[in-house]
Amino acid sequence: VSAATVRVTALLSLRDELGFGTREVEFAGSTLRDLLRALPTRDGRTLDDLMTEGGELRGCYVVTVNGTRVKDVDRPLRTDDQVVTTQFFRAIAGG
Amino acid sequence: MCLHGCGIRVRVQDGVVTKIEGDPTNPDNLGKLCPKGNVGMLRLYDPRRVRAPMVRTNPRKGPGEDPGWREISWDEAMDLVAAKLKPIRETDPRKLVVASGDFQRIFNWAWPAAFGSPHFFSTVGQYCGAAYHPINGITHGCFAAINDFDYCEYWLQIGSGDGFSSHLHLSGSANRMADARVRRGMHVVAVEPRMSPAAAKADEWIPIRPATDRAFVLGLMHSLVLEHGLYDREFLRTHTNAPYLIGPDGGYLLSPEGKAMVWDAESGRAREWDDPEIGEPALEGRYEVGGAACAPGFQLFRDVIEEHTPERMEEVTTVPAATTRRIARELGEAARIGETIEIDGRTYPFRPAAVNYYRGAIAHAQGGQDCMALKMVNTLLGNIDVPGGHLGVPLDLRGFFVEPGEHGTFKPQAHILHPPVPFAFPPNSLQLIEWFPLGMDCGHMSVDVMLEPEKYHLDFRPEVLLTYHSNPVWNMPGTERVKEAMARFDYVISIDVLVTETTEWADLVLPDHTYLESTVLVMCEPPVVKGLALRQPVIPPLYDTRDATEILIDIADRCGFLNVWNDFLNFLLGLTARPELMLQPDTKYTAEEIADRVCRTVYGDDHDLAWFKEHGHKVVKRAPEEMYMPYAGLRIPFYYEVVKTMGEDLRARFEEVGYEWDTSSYVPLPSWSPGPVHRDDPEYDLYAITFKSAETNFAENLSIPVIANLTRRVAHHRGVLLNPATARARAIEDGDRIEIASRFGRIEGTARLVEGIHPDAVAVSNAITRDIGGRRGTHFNALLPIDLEYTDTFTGALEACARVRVSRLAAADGSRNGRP
Repeated sequence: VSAATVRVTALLSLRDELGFGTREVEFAGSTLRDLLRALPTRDGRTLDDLMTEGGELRGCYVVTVNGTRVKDVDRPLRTDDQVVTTQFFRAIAGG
Repeated sequence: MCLHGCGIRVRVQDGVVTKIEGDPTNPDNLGKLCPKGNVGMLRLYDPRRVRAPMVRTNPRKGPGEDPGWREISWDEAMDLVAAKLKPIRETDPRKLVVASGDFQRIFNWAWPAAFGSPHFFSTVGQYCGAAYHPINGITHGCFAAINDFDYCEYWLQIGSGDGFSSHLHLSGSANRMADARVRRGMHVVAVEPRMSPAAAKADEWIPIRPATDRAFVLGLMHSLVLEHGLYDREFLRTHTNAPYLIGPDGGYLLSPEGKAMVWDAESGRAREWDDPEIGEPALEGRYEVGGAACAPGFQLFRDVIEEHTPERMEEVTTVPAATTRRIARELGEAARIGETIEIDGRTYPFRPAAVNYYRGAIAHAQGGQDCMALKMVNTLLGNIDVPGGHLGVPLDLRGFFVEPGEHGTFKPQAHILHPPVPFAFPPNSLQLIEWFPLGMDCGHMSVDVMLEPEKYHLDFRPEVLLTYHSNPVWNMPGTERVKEAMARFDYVISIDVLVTETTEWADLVLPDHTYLESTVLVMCEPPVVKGLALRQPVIPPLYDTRDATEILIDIADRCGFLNVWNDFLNFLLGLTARPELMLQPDTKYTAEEIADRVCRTVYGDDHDLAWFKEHGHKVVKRAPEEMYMPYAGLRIPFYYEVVKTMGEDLRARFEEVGYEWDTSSYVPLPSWSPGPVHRDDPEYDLYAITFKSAETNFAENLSIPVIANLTRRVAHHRGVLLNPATARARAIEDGDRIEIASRFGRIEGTARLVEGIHPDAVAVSNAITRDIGGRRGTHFNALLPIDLEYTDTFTGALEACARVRVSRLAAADGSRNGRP
C-alpha cells in the first residue's frame, strides 16, 4: 500500500471537526479520497463521511490542492501537496 | 464615491491634494475621469466628514433631531461595540442586521455572514440589478453585460446610461462610446421615456411609456422573427437549447435514458440532443414522442410572440407599430447574420448589432421577464459573446463562471455573489433570500418583514443595525416605512466617512478613512479589462479615522470570531491558492498586510504591494479569447427551462409548509401582462420615474459642494420634468410649485416643462433627493411602495416606477407659484 504525507489546512467548521488548523498528515493510499478517509472527525466518523455523498464532494464543501479547486475525490495526491478544506459559505449578500 | 476602479494620479503639494486626473497608463479608464473622479479631493476635505468616533447624546431619533454628537476615543467606541455585539453573537447572531454598501471592498460584505447574520438591509445594487444579474448569470455566466464597443455597428439602448452617463465604468465607457460613434459611425438608437444624455446624443430617440420596455421588445421580436425573418437560426440550433423538445409540463421531454431530446427533421424522429446521427434539429413544429405531445422550445416562443404584434404592443408602449417594424429591420440587417470575422488568428461569428439595457428597462415588478425578453433579442440575433454583439462582464478577476450543466447546457449561475441559499421556513433572513432560489437578496423586503414579522413567521427580533458605507434611509424606497423600521432598532452603529440620512439615526459612528487615505486592491464589473488596481494613501489620514477593513477585523476580534473572519478572507480573497500566504486564524492583519498577500497570490512574489505602490495597477485589456465565446461547446438557454422547474420546486416547498407564495413569475418564456404599476387607476394617471447623470450617479456625492452646485445650475436636475402638453392639461406652467402624489407618498417640486419627456411620464432627478446639511430634498423614493405586491418573486426586483397624479400647489401668499 502506498503512502503520502501532505499538509492539510482546515478552515471554518472543518477546523473544529478535525481539531486542528494546519498539520502534516501521513496517510495510506494515494488519492484525495484516501486522505479524507484517514482524517477522523470529532464524532468518530471520517472527513470522507462528512464531505462526500455517493462518492462525490457535497456542494457545501470546497477542497483545493496546491491552490487549485478539486472536485474529483479520486484525484491523486503526492507527498508535499498542500490540501485546503473548507465549507462553502454564503459569503456576500446583495447585488 | 463609486464602485469601479478608475486609475487616477493625484497631485499633492505641501501635504495638500490639489488635483486628481486619470491615469493614462490604465486601459480601464484610458486616462479619463467623470466629474466625481475629478473632484474626489473634495470628499477628502468635505466639512461634513466624521473626524473621530462619535456617540449620540440625544435619545430621540428621527428627521430633524439633533443627535447631540460627542466625540469619544476609539477604545471607548470599540468597547461600546463589543458590549452590544458580543452577547448577540453568542446567543442569536440573527439579531444583528447589517447594511453594506462598500463595493470597492466588497469582500467586507461577507463580514455579517462570518458573524452569523444573514441579513441585507439595503437596496444598493438590488434596486438596479436584482433582475439583471441573475439573468446574466443564468444565460451566460456573467454578472453584467454590455455591447461590444470595438465592433458593434448598431447599438439599441433601452433604459440604460451605459457609455453616456452611468453604469459600467463610465469614464472608459464614455470614451469608447464616443470613439465608436464618431470614428466608426456606429448607429445608436435610444428607447426611453426621457431624453437622457444617451437619447440626446443618439441618432434616434424613441419615447416610450414607462415600465413597458418588455412590451416593446416582444413586439420587436415578433417583427424580427415572424415578419422579417431576421434571426440567427444556426446559432439557435447549435449554441442554445431552442431546439430541445418541451413536454406538456413545460420541462424538457426526456428520453428513457433521461436525456433531453430534439426532433430530427431529416429522419423524422426524436433523438437525444447529443446523438451524432441528428441531421437537422427542428426549431419549429409539434410532435408526439412516446405518447407525449411536445414541441421545440423555439416553437413555444413563436407561439408567444405571435400574439405580441407591433400594433398590440403599441397600445401598451405608445411606440408606433411602424417604428417597431423599422427598428426590427434595421437591427436584424445590421446583425449581418451568417458573417464571420477573424481576430488574432481566430474566426468568430460577426454580429455587430445588439441591445444594451439596464435599470430603466428592468427595475420593475416583473423584472425577471423584462430581462429575459431583452436577453432573448440578443440571443435571436446570435450575438451573445461574439464580436460586435452583447458581451458578458465578469464581476471580478475570476472571469466568467463556466461549468457544464445538464443536457449539454451551460450550468445556470443565478448567484454570482454567493451560492444559492437553501429553502427555509420560517426564513432566517429579513430579505427572505431563502425564498428566492434564483433571485438576488431583495433588501427592500427587510423593511416589510421587520414591520410585519407575523406575516412572514419571523421567529426572532432584530435588535442592532450596523451600517457600513450604506445609507438605507436614503436608498430604500418607501421612505416613511423605512424610517418606521429604523425606529425599531435598539441600537444603530454606522461605519462611514460622512454624516448621512442614516448616520443621523446612529447611536455610534465609527469614522472610516476616505479612499485617498486607505489601501485596497480594486476592480469591480470591468467591461473590457481585467486586473487589479491599487487604492493607496496619498496623504496620512487627516483625522482620527481608521480603515474600515481594520475596524471590522477589530470587531471580529473583540466578539470572538477573528478566526472565522480570517478563514472567510482566505477563501474570498483567493489566498487558498497560496496556502503559505493564508491569514492565520487568530492574527489581526492590517489592510496593507492583506493587500500584500492578495497581490502576491494573484501575480506572484515579484508583484507584491511595494510593486503596486510604485506602478499603481496591473490592468490589461481582456484578450479576444477571454471576451468572445468563453464557454464554446456549451449551450446557453433560449427557453428558460431552469426558471420553470425552479418555480415548481419552490411551489411544492411552500405547499409542504402550508404558506401562500406567488410563483407565477417563474415562467420559461416572457410575455406581456400588465404589472401592478399598470393597474387601472384613473386617479393616478401618470408614471413617475427617476433619473441620474454622470455627476449624480452614486448620489452620496451630492454632499460635495461643487457637485451640488453643478446640479443646481442645471434646470432639469432642479425641477420635476413634465411634458408641456401634460402640464397644459393640468393648468401647470413652468416654474409652478407642484405636488406629485402616489398611493404611497407625496413630494413637492418645481415644474420644468420640457419636450424631452413622454407625455405620460413625470421625471424626478436623483440630484434633489438628499436630506442633509439642513437641506430637505424631493426624494422620489417616497412615492414608491416597499412591499411584496410590487416585488418580482422570481428575481427580487422591486418596482422603481410609480403611478402618480400631479397638481399645482396653491401658494400660501396667493401668488401663482409661491414666488413673489
